[in-house]
Amino acid sequence: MSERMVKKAQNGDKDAFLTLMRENELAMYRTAKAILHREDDVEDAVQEAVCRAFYKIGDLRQPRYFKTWITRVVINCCYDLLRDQRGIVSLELLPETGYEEDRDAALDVRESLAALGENDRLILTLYYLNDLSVRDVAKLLGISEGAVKQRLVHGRRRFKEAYEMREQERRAVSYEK
Amino acid sequence: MKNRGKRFTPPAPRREKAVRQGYRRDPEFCGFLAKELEMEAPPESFSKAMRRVYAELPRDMPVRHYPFRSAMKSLATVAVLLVVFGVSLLGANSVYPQLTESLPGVGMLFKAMNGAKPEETPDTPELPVPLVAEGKLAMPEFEPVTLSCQGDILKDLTVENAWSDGEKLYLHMSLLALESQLQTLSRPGDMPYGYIPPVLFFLTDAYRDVAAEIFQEYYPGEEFDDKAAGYQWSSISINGQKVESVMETRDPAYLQYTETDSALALHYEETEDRVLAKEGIQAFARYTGNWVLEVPQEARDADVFSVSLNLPQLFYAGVIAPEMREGGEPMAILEDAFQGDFTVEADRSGALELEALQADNKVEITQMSYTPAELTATLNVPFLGYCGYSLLPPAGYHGGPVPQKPYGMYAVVSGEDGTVLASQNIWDDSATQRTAYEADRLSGYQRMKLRVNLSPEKRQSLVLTLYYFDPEEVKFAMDSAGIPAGDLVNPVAAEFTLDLAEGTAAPSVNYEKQGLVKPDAEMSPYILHHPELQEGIYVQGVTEDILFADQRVSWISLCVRPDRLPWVQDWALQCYIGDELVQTVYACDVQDDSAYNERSGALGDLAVYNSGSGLFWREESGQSNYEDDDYAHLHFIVEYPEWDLDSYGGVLSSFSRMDLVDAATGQVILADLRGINRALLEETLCGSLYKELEEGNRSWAGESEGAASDYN
Repeated sequence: MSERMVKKAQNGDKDAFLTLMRENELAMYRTAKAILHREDDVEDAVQEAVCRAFYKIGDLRQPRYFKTWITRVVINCCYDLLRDQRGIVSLELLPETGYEEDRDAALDVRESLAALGENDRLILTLYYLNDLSVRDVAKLLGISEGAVKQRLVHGRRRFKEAYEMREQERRAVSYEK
Repeated sequence: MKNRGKRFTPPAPRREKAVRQGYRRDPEFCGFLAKELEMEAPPESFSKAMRRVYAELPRDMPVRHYPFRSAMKSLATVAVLLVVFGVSLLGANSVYPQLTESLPGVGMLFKAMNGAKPEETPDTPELPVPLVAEGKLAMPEFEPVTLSCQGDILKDLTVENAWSDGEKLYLHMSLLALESQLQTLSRPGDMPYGYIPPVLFFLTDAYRDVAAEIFQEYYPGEEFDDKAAGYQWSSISINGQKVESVMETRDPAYLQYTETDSALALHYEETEDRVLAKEGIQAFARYTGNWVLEVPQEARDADVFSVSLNLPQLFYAGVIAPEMREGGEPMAILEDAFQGDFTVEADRSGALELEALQADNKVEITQMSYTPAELTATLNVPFLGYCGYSLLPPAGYHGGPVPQKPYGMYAVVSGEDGTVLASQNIWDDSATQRTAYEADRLSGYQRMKLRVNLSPEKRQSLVLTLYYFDPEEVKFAMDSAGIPAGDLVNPVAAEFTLDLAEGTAAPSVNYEKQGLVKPDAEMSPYILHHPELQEGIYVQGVTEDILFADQRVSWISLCVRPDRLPWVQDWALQCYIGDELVQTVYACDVQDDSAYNERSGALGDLAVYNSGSGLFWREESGQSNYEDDDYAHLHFIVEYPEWDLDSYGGVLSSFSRMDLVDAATGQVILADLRGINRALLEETLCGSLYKELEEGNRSWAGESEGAASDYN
């Protein structure tokens, strides 16, 4: 993504806008998926985000923030969708402390992922898969950089434990055979 | 204190190792995560849905955001907001009467108000003639020149752009390097988060002394021999004359390399290639740099400069890692040489001395000159105190004459669209004389001399904004690499728009578009207060978790009034996790250099003592510039216990409380140093306005409609 492309889109170049959208399709998909899970909802939210971006991109004064900006637009669309579906959704995304660590529970990877909070999944996705910086993730979600780092470490550890557990189980199964 | 920056911070990159390792982006984990979250690739249905929405978008896109559309929206909220934003409205009206007159509800008011003025804006307003049309903004064309290299790591060095006003030569350089190979030379875990070290050239042997000093730190007692070490210095000549002086934009984390005006740095640039590299595809990382070279006196009359680059080696600074002390060089040398010539036309047009300078909010411009690559100015700004006044350690960790530096403001130069062109480095500038200060606390003013390098370009206008310091940046200077980036919260001290066609500078209000405020200088809460000391002690800094000499530690700095010093050797720092006392570091009698007091050697020759669960040392040169008292600084470095570290080396629980106690009697002298530090920081640096701004900044993330404007 080049800043020049963003500027072109802001000046009314639709092709430039579409290029930007295509370049960021995967990132938008991942962001929405981290929040919404259901493919239909993901599609709806990202489509809505594209439409909003189409009309709002001119408001972005600093093209270098495009990636973070479009992520924020997607997140907003996802929460709007949830709000419509659930009637209400808490915008208190991330309490700074207090997640549970149940190290003894025999979770497989899927259960472990499910045990990860929605917000942790979003943070992991934004940082590891969408390549946003800790600072940008913190700003996007309105939490401190320290909290983001803490959750990254926690989430990664959770994954690692689950992965190792599954590997052990797999080895045990093959040994039994 | 003078050399403190060198001794304490050379390995700025050493920090954050364990934390970064705890969440580093490695391809294996990213791949695993994508797979488990079922996010490797969107399903075909998603792609179809996207194609559908692209096809349904209107043919014509809305045109670019009109700068005052958001102002218009705000203003349309009628009378209530009029009270709140009355001043802004009046300001906007004086500059953009058409806008305010068009406002629903209040437009009539402004029409009536403006009716009394002479007709200045006829139906077809006279627009300024674009200088482009007159050819005045045209720059001599420069065809990029690429110097190739067949090395394993480096590929092309390109002179992307070159421009000269006859006295200086401005080069915009880029370098392609095979990122994965370059990374093998560094230890990313030693870098501050997100920091990727620069690639350096050393232009002259002026660097030799600095290299020798660094060498001594790694090999005490051994003689430095640059030739034996295999160092080759680069050279650049202009019309056959050797360039001696370089004035490139510096990186404060690497001051020690660049302070002799001899280093040329190329900095890592974020590109999408990085994603490719992360996913296992070999990609070239792009490094860029803006080099400013002084044209040798003998060559200055020429109209065309013939430039010759001879860069036999590059140095990669990222390898200053502990294991390198065991036999390696402090820096990696890349033998990938570049050599080439090109010519640059001297362009002496576009320079001007601005006149009709105006003042804004007690900030007066007394002189201002401009070339397409440089803005210099002398300003009188309110004196808010010296840095040392607060007893805070702002730039102390970067070296430099910090206590004497007037506290207060930093400058940002931007285009009228808000694009930042140059940001003054509050940590580095005083040390490098880019910005000079002459403060006079009695007169209430300080003189600020600015020199800002710009990317060479002829412009019609520029905006010079002075911001108050952001206390966050003061406290967490190391995290920001010295660049004040918190422009969302920093309040404006003054703003001027420079009309480069007319050669004038006048106050302006562009900052309002960014939601920033400009506190009245008469009532500024940003005047630095000398803090109330408790027990003659100022809790100067509490860093809860930092990597120091391969250990996770807390670093506590105290500033102590001279009359308390005789008792210092009895003090100890006690650290708790929960209610349990887990670590204690004792202050030592620094006069007693006996075996009982074991020197650590962790900071070279500095008298640092192993004492209890960490390190202690004391510095006597902590001038505060406050009533000429010579305060002493005490430093306690407390290691986290092994059991409090996770498998990645990260801290599980930070110390919950840190108390300063009298080790002999057990009496608590100061309880909860961290709490005291935070309270003092707020009290010292600002008043409630900062808090309000900070709150405002935090709350934006929850506003669904504000996504766009909040980044602006």
